[in-house]
Amino acid sequence: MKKNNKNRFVSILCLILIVAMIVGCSNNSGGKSPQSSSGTDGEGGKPVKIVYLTPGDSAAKPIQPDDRIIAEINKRLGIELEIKFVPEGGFEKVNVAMATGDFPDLVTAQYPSSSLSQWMEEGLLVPLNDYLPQMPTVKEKLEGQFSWTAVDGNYYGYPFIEEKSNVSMTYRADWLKTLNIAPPTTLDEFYEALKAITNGDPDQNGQKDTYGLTGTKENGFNTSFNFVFYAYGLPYGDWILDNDGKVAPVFEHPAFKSGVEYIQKLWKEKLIDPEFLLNDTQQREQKFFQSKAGFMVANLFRHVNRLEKSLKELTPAGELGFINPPAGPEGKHGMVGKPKGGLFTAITTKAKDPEKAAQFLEFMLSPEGRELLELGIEGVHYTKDGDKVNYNEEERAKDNFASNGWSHPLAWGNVVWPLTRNYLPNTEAQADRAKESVEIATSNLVPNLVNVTTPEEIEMGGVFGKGILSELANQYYFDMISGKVDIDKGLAELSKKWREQGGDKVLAAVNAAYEAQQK
Amino acid sequence: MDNSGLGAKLFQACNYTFLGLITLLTLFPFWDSLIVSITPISESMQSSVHLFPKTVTFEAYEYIVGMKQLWSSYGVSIFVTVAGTILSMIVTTLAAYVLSKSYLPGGRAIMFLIVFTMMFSGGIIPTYLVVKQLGMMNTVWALIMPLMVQTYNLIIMRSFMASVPESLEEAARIDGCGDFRILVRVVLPLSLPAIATVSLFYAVAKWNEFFTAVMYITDKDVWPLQLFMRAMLIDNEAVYQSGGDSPFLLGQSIKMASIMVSTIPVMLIYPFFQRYFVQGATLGAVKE
Amino acid sequence: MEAPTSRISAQVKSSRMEGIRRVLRYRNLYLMLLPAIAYYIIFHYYPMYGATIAFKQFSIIKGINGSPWVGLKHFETLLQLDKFWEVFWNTIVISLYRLLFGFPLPLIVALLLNEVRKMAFKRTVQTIIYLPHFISWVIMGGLLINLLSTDSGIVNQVIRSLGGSSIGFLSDESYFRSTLVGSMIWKEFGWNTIIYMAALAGVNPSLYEAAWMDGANRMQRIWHVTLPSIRTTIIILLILRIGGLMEAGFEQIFVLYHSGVYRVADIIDTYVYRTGLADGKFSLAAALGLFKSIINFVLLIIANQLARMKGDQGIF
Repeated sequence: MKKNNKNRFVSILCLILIVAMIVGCSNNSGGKSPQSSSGTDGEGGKPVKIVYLTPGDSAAKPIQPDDRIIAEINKRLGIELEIKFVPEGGFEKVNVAMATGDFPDLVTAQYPSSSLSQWMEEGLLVPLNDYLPQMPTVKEKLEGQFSWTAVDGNYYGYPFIEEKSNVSMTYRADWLKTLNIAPPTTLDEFYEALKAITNGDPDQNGQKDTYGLTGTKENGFNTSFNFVFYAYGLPYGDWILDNDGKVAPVFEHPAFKSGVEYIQKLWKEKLIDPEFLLNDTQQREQKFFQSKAGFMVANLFRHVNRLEKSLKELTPAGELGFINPPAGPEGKHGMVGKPKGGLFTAITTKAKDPEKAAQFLEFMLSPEGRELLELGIEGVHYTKDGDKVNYNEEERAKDNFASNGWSHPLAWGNVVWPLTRNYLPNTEAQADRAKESVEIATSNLVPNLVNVTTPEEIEMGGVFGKGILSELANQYYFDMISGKVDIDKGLAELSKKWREQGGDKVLAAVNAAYEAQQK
Repeated sequence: MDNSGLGAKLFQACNYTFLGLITLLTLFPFWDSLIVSITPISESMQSSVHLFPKTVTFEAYEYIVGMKQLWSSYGVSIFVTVAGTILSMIVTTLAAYVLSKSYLPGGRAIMFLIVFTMMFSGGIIPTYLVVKQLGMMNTVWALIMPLMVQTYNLIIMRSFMASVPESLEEAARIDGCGDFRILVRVVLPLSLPAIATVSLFYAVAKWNEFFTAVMYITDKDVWPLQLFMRAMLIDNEAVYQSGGDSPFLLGQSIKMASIMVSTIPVMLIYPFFQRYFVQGATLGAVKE
Repeated sequence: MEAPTSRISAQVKSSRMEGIRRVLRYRNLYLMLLPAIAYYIIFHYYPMYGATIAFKQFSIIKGINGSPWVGLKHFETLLQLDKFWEVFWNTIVISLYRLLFGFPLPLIVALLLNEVRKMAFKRTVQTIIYLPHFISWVIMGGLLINLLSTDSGIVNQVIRSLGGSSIGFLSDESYFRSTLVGSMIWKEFGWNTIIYMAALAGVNPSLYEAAWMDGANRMQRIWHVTLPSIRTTIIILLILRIGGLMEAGFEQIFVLYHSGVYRVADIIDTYVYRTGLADGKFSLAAALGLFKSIINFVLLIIANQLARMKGDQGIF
């Protein structure tokens, strides 16, 4: 009996495979070209189906078929929305789907990236220009701060580029009090503070087990200590102008050299955690909580409360402080370069009804859409008591809202972050400090010289950032701060090698872009 | 046996000590993770090595178990592992048996062509198209079919089956058994250790498979456990910078609890398979 | 003139007939092979045309078959990278270390376990040593940092208490590769033991008996009975390992390395991934894959032929 079944199973299996093989082989067409056929549906009463492929917020819950928020969007826009989630950062899937002609109607991709450029070049994306009159929120951004994202006058999608920052100089406020020093405002004071923390036993455990400053490992150029360059007056986050008014790499600016000298001093005197390169974000924070480091460059905003709470778990007297990064000799200060990239949401040429897709994109950014995605449906998911919102957690959980007043799975991660909107539900602890940290961090964003990222930079990188050229710069940077290479010699060699290995090509392209921008 | 001599005793003593030591050494990573998962973060963060917890809390587990996604992902992963392993084993065993026959015309050429695919592939684009054309996108079959036979396992299986004495098969053939019956009646019973090993390899690989899921599954209801767990594990820069909604307060203990929740089920199958490796040796021991 | 030709053709015909007869004789065997063949055709050989994009400039609109040929352009791009040969060299060195130190240990442990007579002990050891295989490198990475860091790591604390000075296992270029290989062995040796245990379980007990009768001691027994019995398994695993020389452990290295040790730890895969060189560039990625595959394949064939020359069956 048993064996008979097995026999039958095997023969069925063979059959299935043979059939599958025939089906598979008869469809011999390779990468199919996309067809911009407009379906028959959508015209009459039947709503248009819109498939949206996006890497959402990794922590977001799945959307259930009976989700009331999706139903509400469908009702308001007359569409039938299908959300396809790839894991956050899973752009490989998005690229492959697009490369095989398996286009969604709406797609979120990495910006800038060579894949996105290819889609634009090959005409796979629908310019939003014609639909802008119906997209007031998108229009305002595109024609305002993001006008430079147009390619030959066409806006191929909505760029989600973070305009705010939450990167702040974070420190152990309780330690500075113990050591009786004020929060440092200049590089000199900063140096003294690091020295006091390293040598002064701020945790009073009788051991010399603390470091002034720690950092994080990074792919590409390590930006952990970039605030030093900005303090010395590095004017831009991407490129500089040389004496002839031509674009040049940032390491040729005098501020870079002064910065390297300063960091080298900290390194030599062991004020910097000697193994900071092993840290990922979590390990860096752990060193902070464990009272091993006094200062770190950290992401705050919503994390103010989390960081301080975690710190207090280990050291009840622990206090978190955040300040402007220290200023240089001329009083300048800055933290990180303004982002030039992020995500990009675009309509593909396969969209059955590009107009509806555009409406949906607008909806996700519009005040009306934000209210729906962040709060839900009034009377169901929340009630309003004047200005105060009361969350009905039970109803919200049914539609997979995140807990504690947080939002619907579709709310974040594709066209906007809470940070962008400075959005915090009124359940959030320390909301005022969280917002204050954003204010400080944003005021320390360093502008860029050139808005666009040239294709050459996408391929090879620049100085700060990712790519083979950034890697080169980073290698010299570390050899110089650790004293393996003499600074003057290192900088000269870097300039030469960097140009030889493709920097010349990149500079030519960036110069052209800069000139175009000046017009 | 020569277990009476002093040298033998010394050898056994050294052997037990050495094996005991490496066992403790390899237990450490798992043990450490387990302890961190049940220790409040305030305590686990105070030391770098975690041998025994002072306080025990299941907060992290409560958080994970409370996520609906966990259970649907469990379902997907269990189905893929069980059904996929059975299917893989049937196809692999059949093929391995046939290819273990050195007299089969063309056998070596077929083997060469199979090994060739271990190294060379058409890449993701055409494979994606095949999966799409077969209508498997967003179904569990996309997680099962493209990885049905793993050449490495096929090679192992084949080499084990080749060691079954041909004389036994000949005897069965004279008794009038066909090839399939010889496989089931003669070869399989003698290849239990190999079947157990290769099944284990398949099961673990299917349970841990990540890339296929990223490529073919966009419906969170069909997300296998690994996709879900990865979201909990990855030190996600984007979430940090932008303040996405993540339960980082529990931090490390959630990470470790995820590890436990996602690996303990697959670890538990080991003793089941292990019977078959040890059994062979037991027979030997009895005969001694 | 006609006669010999027709004789030859008759011979050809008869040998062809003979071939067909042989195939027919084994038709049941071929039938059993069919599911696997179908699988390989559908999921491997049918998509194989995709490998051509390594020599093309891939265009989405034109598809793989319609994209224009560019010859060896992508290979040139790769080989001309300033860093390419450095990372190529690192790949080989790290891989060889892994082979040299990582390959024998599972075998040795399996042989030692085979000598254990206490079943409970044997089972416990076996069950435990395979556990770290399931802990992902992301987690192992965190653990290693905790254990090996220069100031608070327990290993360095021990070294210091014994009078030594701290060693930068993860931060010092001269120790990093050893740490890589050591931790890889730590994590994987138990898992790799399984296959030898299975092979040992299949050894005919009467062989041991015979050896014992002959008065062989333990070492002689292991050398003359156990090892020859599992020789095929060892050889096959070794061939497969040699054919994977270009894979030096991307995930592990990616978790553990950092810019302080790139010079010794950066392998081809990590370099290309980190610099985003092949991001969304299917052609370049395919060229890289092909480059590695060809080296692996050549090595595999050499290893396989060597094994066959030594009288082993090899893989094919």
